[in-house]
Amino acid sequence: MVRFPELWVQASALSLNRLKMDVIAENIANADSTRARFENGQWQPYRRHMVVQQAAPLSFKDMLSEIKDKQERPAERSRNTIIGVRANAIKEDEAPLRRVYDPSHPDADQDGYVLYPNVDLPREMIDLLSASRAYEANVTVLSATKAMLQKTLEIGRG
Amino acid sequence: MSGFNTIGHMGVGLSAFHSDKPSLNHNDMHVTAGSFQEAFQSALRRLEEGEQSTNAAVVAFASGAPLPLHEVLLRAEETQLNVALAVEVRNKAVEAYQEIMRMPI
Amino acid sequence: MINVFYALQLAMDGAWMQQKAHAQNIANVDTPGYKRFQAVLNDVNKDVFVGNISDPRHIRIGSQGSYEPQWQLQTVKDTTETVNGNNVDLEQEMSELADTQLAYQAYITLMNQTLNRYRTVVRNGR
Repeated sequence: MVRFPELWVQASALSLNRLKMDVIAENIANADSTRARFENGQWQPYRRHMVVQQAAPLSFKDMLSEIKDKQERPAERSRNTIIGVRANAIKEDEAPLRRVYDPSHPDADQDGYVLYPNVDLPREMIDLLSASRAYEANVTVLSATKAMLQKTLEIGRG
Repeated sequence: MSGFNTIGHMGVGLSAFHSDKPSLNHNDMHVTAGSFQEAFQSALRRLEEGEQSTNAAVVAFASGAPLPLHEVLLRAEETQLNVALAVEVRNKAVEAYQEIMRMPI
Repeated sequence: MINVFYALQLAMDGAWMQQKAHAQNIANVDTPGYKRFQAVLNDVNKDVFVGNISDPRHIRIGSQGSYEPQWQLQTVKDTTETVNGNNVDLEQEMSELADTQLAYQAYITLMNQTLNRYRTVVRNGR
């Protein structure tokens, strides 16, 4: 964050949840894509993508690398580190793919089975609800922090 | 000249405002025995230190230091009060002096 | 002595410039190939903030003669992009927008406070 690290925490969460919703949207769109990648002369079906998130501490020292921080006392160091969240990676789910018996399908193997993506629609919908709820919650916190800071400014106005 | 010594007790009010300890604890107030000049000069010194530290805090905040906003604002408000108080005391002292000088001997 | 008025003025300029950056970035949130802008400080003025004011030219109160812009808009290139080359993250822009607004208000309030402080002395407490 440029000036108020208190807002950065929620900003990072908003970005992350937006990313999660985008990934879920991709999964739902490709729930039946039997052809995603062409590997070893064969089409591989789409695999469910998931976002791996991690806590991302942001120390004020990173932000103020140009300004010498002479006044920082050792006891304050833990108070000066803010923990936000960030996406570590977008990984493919290693869970087994769905096998459906359909010999007429162009991608059926010798036994007549087709491999469909391991995307479970109810699961994706629940994840989507969860991510959008988290998004809303973080917007609420952001608004609350902003309101508190604006109230603080009234100290100097009188 | 003994009249001026009683004015020295005005130092009681000034010493209640410490710029590094924002508390109005009555234990902080102490009677400064001695001349008015001593009391006033020590209060002015504390006022100047407070103002310098407030200015430093404001500059640090403007340049991005992670100072809490309320801390910077409260420090500035406190300095503002100290300055107003010092100016008021000075005015009263000047009034008192003029009053005394007007007394027929 | 660091000039508190100059520091606040510089900070206000920065917040104003950053606000312009956000306005542009949010307007171009889905423009193909658009890279987001950010306000950066000219090198000569960084010394004021670090406290290294050996050169008296660094202290400037208000505009004396020609006013040189000290903050500039700079393109930020090394962030993740969408398929069409746009690297504006809407959540980040909106959050930073709130931050910039608050920062600007804070600097204004601090400037008012400082002016009131000195005004009290100048006007003998009136």
